[in-house]
Amino acid sequence: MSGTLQDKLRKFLSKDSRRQIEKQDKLRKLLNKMRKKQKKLEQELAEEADAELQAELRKDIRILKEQRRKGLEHLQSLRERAPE
Amino acid sequence: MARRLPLIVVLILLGWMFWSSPTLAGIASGVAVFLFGMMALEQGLRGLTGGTLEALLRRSTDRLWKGLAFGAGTTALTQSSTLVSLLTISFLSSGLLGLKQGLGVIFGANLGTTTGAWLLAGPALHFNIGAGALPLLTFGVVFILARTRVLRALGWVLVGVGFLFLGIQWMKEGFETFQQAFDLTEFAMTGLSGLLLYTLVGIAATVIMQSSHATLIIVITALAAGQISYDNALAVSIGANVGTAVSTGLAAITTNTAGRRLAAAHLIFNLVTGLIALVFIQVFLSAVDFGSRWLGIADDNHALKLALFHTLFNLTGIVVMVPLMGRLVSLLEKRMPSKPLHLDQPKYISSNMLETPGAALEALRRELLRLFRRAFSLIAQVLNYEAGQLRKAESRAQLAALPNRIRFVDIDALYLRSIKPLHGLIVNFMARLSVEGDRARQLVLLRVASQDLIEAVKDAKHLQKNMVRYLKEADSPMGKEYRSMRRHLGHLLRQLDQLAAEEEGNSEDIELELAALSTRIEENDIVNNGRLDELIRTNRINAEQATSLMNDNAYTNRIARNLLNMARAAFQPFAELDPDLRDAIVLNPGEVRALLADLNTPDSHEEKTDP
Repeated sequence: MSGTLQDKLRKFLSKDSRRQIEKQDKLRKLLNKMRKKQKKLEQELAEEADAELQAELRKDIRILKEQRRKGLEHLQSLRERAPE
Repeated sequence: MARRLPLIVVLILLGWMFWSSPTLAGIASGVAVFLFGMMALEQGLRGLTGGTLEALLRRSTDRLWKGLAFGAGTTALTQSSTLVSLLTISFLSSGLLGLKQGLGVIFGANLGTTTGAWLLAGPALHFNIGAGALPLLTFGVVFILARTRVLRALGWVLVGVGFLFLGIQWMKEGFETFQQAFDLTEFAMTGLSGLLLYTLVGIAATVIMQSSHATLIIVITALAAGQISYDNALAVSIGANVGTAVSTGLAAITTNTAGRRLAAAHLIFNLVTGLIALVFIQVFLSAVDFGSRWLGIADDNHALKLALFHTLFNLTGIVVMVPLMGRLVSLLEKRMPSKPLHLDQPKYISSNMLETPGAALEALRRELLRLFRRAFSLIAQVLNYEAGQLRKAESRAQLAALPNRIRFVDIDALYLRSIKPLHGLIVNFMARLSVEGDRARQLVLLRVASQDLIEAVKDAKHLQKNMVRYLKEADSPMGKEYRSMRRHLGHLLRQLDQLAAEEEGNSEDIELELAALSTRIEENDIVNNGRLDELIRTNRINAEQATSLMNDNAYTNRIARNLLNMARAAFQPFAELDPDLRDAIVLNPGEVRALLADLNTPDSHEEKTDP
């Protein structure tokens, strides 16, 4: 068995690595969902005529963007922390 | 008195046995030691495999064959159909398992239990197993004294097996001595009457001893000693099969409808199987002879032939009953409908679940969701929403609409009637549940969640006075603020109710929604977002009104936060909870304030760069 394959196997079998991968997958899925939700809200904003509701939707979109930014940063740090 | 009659008869009979003959006393002691061994073994296995069995059962619910294999495999390994039945009933009662899947497990367990007859008729009879009993008992007791839970459980398993061996040895010796004085085969009965009478003997013996294994070991040792005829022994084994279902049925009387349905199905299965064995006894005898020749079992080895018979008729029962499973489920659901529950009755938790902590915690979580629905209804009434309408409200306008008549509800009466009794049962159940490790953490989470829910209800009571007062003055500055508070809490309640309704909701969706709700709470805090200061500065409210508003804003926030905390712990199964995932996207109060300040700046309408 080559060294690289052994490393891959070791990483796969390591409980900690598996947990890290699962965490990244979950977060990635969540971020995708946030992106879709953001698109949906932007669509609603484009169709909304009421000024008050527009302001509320704009606020929701901004909050979602901020949450997504935070999530992306966390994902990046998880990737950096992952063992080589 | 009548209920105690069987016990009195058994005690008198045993007293007579001990007084009249040391041999009979030896046999009776052997049975008692064997039964004690079964109990010790069950206790040990529960400690040793409880978690593993529960985890396995959770994965065995999607296919019928998996359920059957789980039932057969685990019963063969643990030699305790009671343990598997109890686990299945707990899972069924907690809603983790459907009736059909539960039936698969029970049918499989019936097949698995037949391996006991093979062990008893094979190694147990042909080796001096009594010699192995003493070391097992000695080492077992040493392990029981250990501090580690696993070692203690292992100790009970060893002690259990030791007592089983000792019991079998005493019974063997008892029957061998008995043979020299009496010949019980003189009482052998042939034909249909013999078949029926000995079947009844098998049922009675199993119901009294609460163990088909005990009945089988008596009959197998008696058969090996030549104290019972082969035909009569077969009939006793059929009776033992029916008797074990009767025992389960009696135990299930105290469970809920789901448990009773499963016990009824078990009884029907074993009755049908027994009936098939009785009607086609000659066919089975030929099949046993054929199978014995094929397996190399000697013609006169009646003990092993009995084990083969036991396996064959249980296997036939499965082949006959599996295709009828759907109909059986419909029949049971029709004949044993779920009764409407009273307000003070639990739906998922029951005391017989305390032995299976995994299922008990899941049942607890579901019971807590039931309590949440009641709290939802109560808080909705405080806010002057009809619970049904709030659930259906889709737009902001629907949430903002006020009813024609603003009402004041008697929260204390509502709390005493619909919340307190169920909460009391939940608290009582939590106190009696003994768990360790991760499960202990889960229990703490659920305990805190139940407390959060009650706190939310109590804060709703404090909020009601001013809420009702100012909703009646809806167009005043104070009225507008209370309408806004009402709308925000209404929105939170509706979202949480929808999340609670999605029983197997996706964990990412739940986290996303909870994160959004958490930010909204921060955003709507009128003390932090500067709204209160603005109202005071512009003289739209006086100092006294400001104090009321500040207090009620605090109540509103606490209600919202408590409900959100409860949802985080109870809306997802424990295995799905991921605090890191939540922390990754939830904005902390400082971040929300900075964001709101940024939004209030004049150029806030310009879109920022998309991440």
